[in-house]
Amino acid sequence: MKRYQSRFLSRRVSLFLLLLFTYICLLLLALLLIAVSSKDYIVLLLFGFLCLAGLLYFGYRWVWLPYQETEKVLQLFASGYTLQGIYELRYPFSPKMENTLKKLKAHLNTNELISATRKQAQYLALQNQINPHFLYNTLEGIRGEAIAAGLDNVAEMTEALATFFRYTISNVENLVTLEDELTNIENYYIIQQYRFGERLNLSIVYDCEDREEILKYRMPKLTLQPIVENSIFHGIERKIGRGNIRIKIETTPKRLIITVSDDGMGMEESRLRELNEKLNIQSLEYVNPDGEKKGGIAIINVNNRIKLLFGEQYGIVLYSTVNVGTDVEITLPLIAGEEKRV
Amino acid sequence: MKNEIIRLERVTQIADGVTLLDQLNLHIFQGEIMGLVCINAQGQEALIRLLCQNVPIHYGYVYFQGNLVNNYEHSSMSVNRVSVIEQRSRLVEDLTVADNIFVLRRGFKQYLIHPGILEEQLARFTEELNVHIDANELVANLSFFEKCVVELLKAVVTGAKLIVIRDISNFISASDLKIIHDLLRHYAAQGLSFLYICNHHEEAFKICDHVSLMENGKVRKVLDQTNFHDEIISHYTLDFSRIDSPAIHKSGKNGILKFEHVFTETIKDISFTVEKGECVVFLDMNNTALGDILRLMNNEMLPLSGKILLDGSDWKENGSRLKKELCFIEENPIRAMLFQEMSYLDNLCFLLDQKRPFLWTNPSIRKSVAQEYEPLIGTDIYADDITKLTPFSLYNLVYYKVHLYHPKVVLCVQPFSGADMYLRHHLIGLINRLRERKIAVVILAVSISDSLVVADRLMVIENGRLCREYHSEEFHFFRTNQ
Repeated sequence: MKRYQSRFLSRRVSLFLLLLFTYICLLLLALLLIAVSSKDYIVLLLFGFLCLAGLLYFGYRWVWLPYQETEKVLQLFASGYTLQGIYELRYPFSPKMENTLKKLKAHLNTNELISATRKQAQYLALQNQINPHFLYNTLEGIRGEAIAAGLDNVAEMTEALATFFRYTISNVENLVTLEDELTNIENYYIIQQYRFGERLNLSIVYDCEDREEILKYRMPKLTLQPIVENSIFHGIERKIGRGNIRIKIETTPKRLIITVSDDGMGMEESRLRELNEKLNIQSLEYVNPDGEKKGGIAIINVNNRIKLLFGEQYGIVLYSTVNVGTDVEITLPLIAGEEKRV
Repeated sequence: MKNEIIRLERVTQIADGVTLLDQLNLHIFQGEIMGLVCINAQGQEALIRLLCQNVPIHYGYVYFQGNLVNNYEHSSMSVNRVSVIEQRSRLVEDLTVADNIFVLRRGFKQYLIHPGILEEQLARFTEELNVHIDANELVANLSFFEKCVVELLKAVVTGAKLIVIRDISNFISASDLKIIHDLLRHYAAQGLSFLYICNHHEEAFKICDHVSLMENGKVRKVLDQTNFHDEIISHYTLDFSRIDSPAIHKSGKNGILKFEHVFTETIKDISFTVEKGECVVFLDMNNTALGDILRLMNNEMLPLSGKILLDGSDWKENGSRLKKELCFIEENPIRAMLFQEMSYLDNLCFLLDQKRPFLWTNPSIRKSVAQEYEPLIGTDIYADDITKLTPFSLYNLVYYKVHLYHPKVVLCVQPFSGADMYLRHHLIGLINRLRERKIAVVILAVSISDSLVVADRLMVIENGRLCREYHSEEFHFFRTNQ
């Protein structure tokens, strides 16, 4: 094991410094003995000890603490906590290491990751809508309405479906306004209402006064719909009785905070922990999921897209309790202005 | 748009291999009173420390007033503008109120202090709040409530942006709590933010805008006012519904403990009777009379008039003999009632030597005690060092010590104070063990906590008078009036 440890340069440098320090201490001790016996150079020697103490303090602040910081970031990267952290190392071990990390960053091209997540978002949204159940239920709804000769409803439903498809498929690379996202959710709600009827209730709450302004803030497209869809299918669909989904919108000078809450079935502690861990660790494992683990991919995808676009300090946090419901808190930077491509 | 005062994002803190804070998320806006109901105590201390100072964390980000002040890469150890108000006062007891508020603060640079000016400045605050506190009074002479107000004013004067209020109902009375709540609302309206930490959701629901439920160092749910109902909370808490109490044994017309028209300086004509095995809660709304009840039963004072009877005998005349029939369980008993240098078994037998004089010289008595109590306590009974035991085990020790001693009456002072939900649930079981041995349990409390789950009767004392009495089937009236 010791032999294995000594493979690492950090270990070798530590050992070397320890030996050097021991050597200096022994040297100073020997000089101290000589100085005490000859009663000369004591002041000079004391000065030597003071210099050593100063040097140690300097080494602690200038070398040891930064070394610890870098070690910690590398460790957190290895355990999956951070990705951005290693690109922003304040104290790389050497210029070569910095260049290596730059190269690594280039290999793990963020744009490619964003593009992958974007495509995944579109794919997931489409996959769910093209699935036979979705189409069947929707068409069944249209048929039922036609039979009942309620043509207005048929028109409304068809329009909602068409608008929803159009929104999902076009320009996923753009940052859209919150208003666009909420309109899409309302369309999606209209479609789902034909299936769930009175069982499903959606409300949007603005926890602030300047509603008009808030609706203009921008966010990645298809952020909300996958989350609402998850709430319906994993939370409310299996629930007996009425289910409520509430979208709460809050803003701070730097953030847009959207909380999607449902009072559905909730999830087990172990599943919640697993999902939250996936939300914290950025990886693209979910892009090629096996069939069984599909639940929650959409949320992980949205979270990864947010983190890649805006940084690790933004993203999604899940709270859930069995038979109480699930809250999905989405934190985004506050972006105002014209349509942007990302 | 809301201003964020503090934001903790996925904060993980690990100490000695124990995860104190586990991916904790918490944000508090300006002017908000955020409740924090701790289902268990894990992480509470670490969270408060982290709010006050930017200490190293394993992972996460901490923002104060929108600025990143602490993250996993770098912790500056700087101090945030956060004040904490808790039972352990941070005031200097030997200085006056005005000195504590105005002089002992950062940025105070005057060399000459004018008490008159400080008095005027304080008057401006107290008039605004409609409370009266003498600026020249020593802090040592203040009540808990007054100290609380002084700490609040000190926090306001020093410019704190967030004030942490911790388990305040454990040490101030119900009527004072209402005043404190009004003061919090007053300052919240002025833009101050509060983190209101308590163990009971009912208390948090009365004052908070949002309530976070924390368990194992992690926020499990954030409730807003629309969710403030017991149904949701029941999913996170243990079942505290009333269990069948052990039977009460009538012991003549005098019961086991009787007060007959007792008067002291603060007690005004109190009369009651407690029966064998009964649990009676005395709730002192103003926190004035409980001290005198304790002193009376401790033989530290005598009533000005009236009579106290214990098991039919006059307490005044037979106090020294009857004292053996009485036990006290103090507030925070694991700190106040145990000897750390003694083994578990020695602590357990500690009171028994009053009844068995040869206890310490005869090991066979202690051996048989160990054999009798091992099925109840477990193998902890053989522990030599009690400092390594869990709070659950130590509370077992305190209550089984009384159980073994078998007094006629035990007086418990605020038994649920500072205990998290699991511990409170455990304590209810321990109190019922005492009652099963026909020991009358008298709970003295300033906040009701979970006392009603175990009580047969509730006596409400206001301004030293016994003003209302509720039997267990009438407790819902009391809850409605609260």
